[in-house]
Order: sequence, then structure tokens, then C-alpha cells
Amino acid sequence: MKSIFFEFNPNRCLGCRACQIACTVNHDLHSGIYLRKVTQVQYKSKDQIANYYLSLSCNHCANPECFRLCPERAYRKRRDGIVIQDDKKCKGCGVCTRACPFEAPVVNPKTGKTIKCDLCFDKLEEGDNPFCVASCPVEALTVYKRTTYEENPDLVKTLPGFPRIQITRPSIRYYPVKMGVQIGINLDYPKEVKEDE
Amino acid sequence: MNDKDFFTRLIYGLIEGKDLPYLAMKLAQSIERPVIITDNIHRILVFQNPSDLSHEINEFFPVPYFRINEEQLMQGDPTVLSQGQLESDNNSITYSYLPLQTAGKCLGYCIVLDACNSSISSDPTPLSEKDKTLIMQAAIALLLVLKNKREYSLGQEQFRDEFIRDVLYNNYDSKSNIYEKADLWHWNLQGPMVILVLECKLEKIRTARDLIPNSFNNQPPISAYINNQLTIILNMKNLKKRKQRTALNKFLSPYISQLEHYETGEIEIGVGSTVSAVTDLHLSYQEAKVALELGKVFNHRPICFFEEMGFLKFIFTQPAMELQDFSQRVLGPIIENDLETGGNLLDTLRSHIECKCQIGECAKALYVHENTLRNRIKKIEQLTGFDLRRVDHMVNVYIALQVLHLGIET
Repeated sequence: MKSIFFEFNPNRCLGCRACQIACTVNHDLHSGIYLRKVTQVQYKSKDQIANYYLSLSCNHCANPECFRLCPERAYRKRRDGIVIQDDKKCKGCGVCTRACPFEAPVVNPKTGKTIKCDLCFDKLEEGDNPFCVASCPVEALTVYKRTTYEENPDLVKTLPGFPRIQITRPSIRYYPVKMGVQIGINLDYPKEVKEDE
Repeated sequence: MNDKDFFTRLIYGLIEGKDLPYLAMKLAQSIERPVIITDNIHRILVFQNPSDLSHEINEFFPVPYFRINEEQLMQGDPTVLSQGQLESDNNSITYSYLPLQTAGKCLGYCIVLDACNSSISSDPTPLSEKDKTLIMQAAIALLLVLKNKREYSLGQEQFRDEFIRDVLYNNYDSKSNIYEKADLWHWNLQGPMVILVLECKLEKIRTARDLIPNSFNNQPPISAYINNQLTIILNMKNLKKRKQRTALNKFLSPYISQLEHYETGEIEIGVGSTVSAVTDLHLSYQEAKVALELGKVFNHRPICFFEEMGFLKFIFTQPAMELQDFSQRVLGPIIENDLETGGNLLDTLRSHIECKCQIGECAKALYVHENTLRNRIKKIEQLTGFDLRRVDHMVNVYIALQVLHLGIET
């Protein structure tokens, strides 16, 4: 069976947050509770600089920590790779919110239970796209289906400036960010540039 | 009985539903020698010993591989039979063998033992022409059975893998549903269990699965192929906690040796903790996968036990940004200094910790004078503001190094 995962192209994202808002509105979430968050990332190295937006929700990891640590066995992973949470089993202990290195599950103050992105699997089953994907005006965010054997060589597992915590094996894949050169910075004096690892 | 009668009898036996043991027995009786049938990885499937000769036979009977001309096999040409000798501690067995090959794939071997030096004679009589013809006749029937078995097992495997995957991903709600389905394959999923996850060369994963030892704690191990990894479930029933590790090592050591023999590439094994019920098996599975990944990062190879990972297993579950910030805050000045000066203080710090903070040992490892090393450590202390002789300071430095390592390696 094919796995479903997000693909994100940082070179297209405008940072409009349409995906974030579409998700919140359609899931009827409390204001300020987001299952998807758009953040701005600035990466500088000796001679290169990249400014881009990153839209992140649950990465539907191959080794999900939320799934491992939930004391109520509320999480399960479907055959298509989507990690879902059973609302009836959740007691709102918040263990998963602390366990996820990407802070994907959040506590819904309305219900007192945890909620996370389920890749809108009910919409996918009907042949539609998730709300976030459907709302993206520049198609920076897409969903893709592949078997575990297939890996698109054009995509990468992480982006510069973004923490490379891959132990949980996130399923999301990114298009490599196009690096630019900061105008006005004298490249002979790298000391003036804050360098990241 | 002529040759044609023999072949017809074998085929008639197959029509009646007889299996490999029957074919091997008929061949062994006809040529009055012990017959062994192995699969493609040399695991013994059948051993028929009509005269009860004292052969010491293990689980595997390795024979040298050679590719045969399949036309010759089909035509019953006895020249494709090869000779071999198996030496063990106080035993030497000479044998004739034939790869059972079709469509370029070896499905197994038919091995006819001559005699043991300790048994009937020290000078075994060679196979007669008639014996060789009977072996070639039997080979066709054996090939047919092995091919059918292979196809059946591949089909069954897919169903079993899907079932195991559902159990491990928590897609079953009740124990009784799991037990009911497990009964179809005569699996015992009751009692404490542990999960192992193995990674090797992708093209060799099939071989790795075939090579899993037949038994652990008197139960057959259950295996599944999930996400390009081999998952093995072992039953720990009646094994006391302190004996579990020994039993696992005893199980894994010969298995790893076999895998290395078959050149399965770099082997990584993650072992989860023992869980008491099948409904908790997903925990052991996740732990085994995490152990495997941590083993790669922190070089616990080839076996990494989740329970041995200590605090490292808590680190990576912290928010990624915070981890990166922490690592940068502690080690940032050293990294910056290394970039500016082209020095290698970070490597020095790493070596210093690896050498248990022993100046002499570390200086030897780095090929520098002890005073040079002392100066470098002083510089590190100045840059970071940490005193590397204090445990509380050292813990921060060590964790920051591991986080940095975690990011680089993954």
C-alpha cells in the first residue's frame, strides 16, 4: 500500500498563512490553536543566506514518539502511514505534546483533549485534498503518495537552518531551498555574519 | 524397479499430497544413503537417514554454490552432480550434491551423504550410475515441491506481514481479535515478548529473513518486513529478566555471523524492552526502532538495546529548536573559534570525553603533547565558561555534544 505524505516547497511559500488559517477554521479550533504553523527561517552561513517560510504540522513520522508514549494507546498508524489519534481514548494528559520534537500535538482548550493533524484522511479518502493543501494559492504544500521503496531524488529530508532531528523519521519531504547571497555583506569578513552550524 | 517407475512413484506421491519428507525418504531408500534437502540458504528442510548412520548434522548444511545448466538438470544429466566434504571437529562427511535451480534461481540443494569416517566404512563406495540417475529423477520432483512451497510462502508472507503491521501500529483493539488471527498461523502471541528491528542492505533483506534461527526460547520467532526493515518478535515466556539479555545475545550472535557470511552489508539491530501483553507490542516496536536509530548515531553497533540508552533516549524527544539552541549556546563559542582560527577544539573536546577525561590517554590518541592538550582544554574552558572538572558543567557539555552529533549524523 502506498504511504501518504506532505511535500513542501519553501521556494514557493509566500508566508501568507492561508494553510494555517484554513486548517484552524475548518477544524473549528479555538483562536490561537494551530495544527499547522508557518514560521520564518533565516539561515546564514559563511557566504550564503536563505530566508524562507516553513509550513509545518504533524510529520506522520515512521517512529512517532506520540504513538510510543501515549499511556492511553490513543494513537495508531494507518496502513497508509497517517498517524491518527482516537479522541475518545485521549484523556488530555499532554504526554504526546511534550514528546513530539516538532510540537505537533496540541491541547484543545475547548475539549481539554489533545488534537493533531490527521492529514484530513476523510477528505483524502473522498479524493479531495486536505484543507491546508487546498488553500495554498501557490501550491507550495502538496500531498504525495509513494511506496516505501520509492524516494524522489529531487527532494530532501530537511532544510538548512531547520533542526535536523531525524530519529523519529518524519515522512515530510522538502524541495531544496535556493540559496542566495546577501547583498551588502563583505564575504571576505565572515566574522560579521552570524554563522549557524 | 526401473528409473521410470521411480519417477512415476514420486509424482504419484505428490498427487496424493505427499511432501518433501516423502520424496527424500524414497530417494534415501532407493540409493541406501542419507539424503538431506536444504533451502537456498542451506537450512536443512529434511534429513532422511535410512540406515541410522551417526551423522552429526546441525541446523545448516552449507555447500559450495555453483550455477548449473538448467537444461542438463531437466535432461537428467548426472554430470551436474558435484562432490563436497564437510569438516567438523571430529567428523568428516563426504557428499554429492546438486543445486535445485530454475529460472536462474537456486531454490535449494539435494545432498546425498556418502558415509562418516566414524561409521560404516572409512572408504565410502562411490555412487553408481543408477544411483545418479535416481537422484536426477528425484531432483525434478524436489524442484517442483520447492517452487510451490516458495510461491505459497511468499503469498502467505504478505498476509502475515500486514497482520503484524496492524498489531504493531495499534490497529487492533482487542487481544481476542489478535489471538484469533494469530491462531491461523499457529503463532503464540501470549506472554511477555520483545521486538527486534533489523536493517541491512535492502536487496539482502529477504536472505536476512530466511536466515532467522528456527527457535528462540522453544518458540519459533515471528518475522515481518515493514518499512524496509525486518521486524522479529520473540517470545520471552518463562525467561527471568536477568537471563533475557543472555538469551538474546545467544540468539543474535550466530544469526549475525550468518548474516555476515551472506554479505548482507552493515547490520544494525535495535532491541525494544520486554512487554507483558500483545497489546503493548507497539511500545516494544517503537523502542526497537528508536534504539536502532540511536545506535547508528552513537555507534552502538550492531546491537543497540533501548534499555541501555539511558538519558539519550529522552534528549531527542525534546523540542528540536530548543535542543539546537541549547547545543549552540554551549558549543557555539568553540565552533566559532574553530571556524575563525581553523583549529579543532571541538574534536579535542570530543576526544577528551571519549578518553574518560584522562589527559595522558587523550594526548596519545591525538598525537599531541600533554601540555598542548592542557592548553587546549584551558582554551575550551575559557570560551565556554565551563569547568570541565566539575560534573554539573561536564554534563551540559556532554549533552550538547550529543545533540550536535544527533543533528549531524541524522
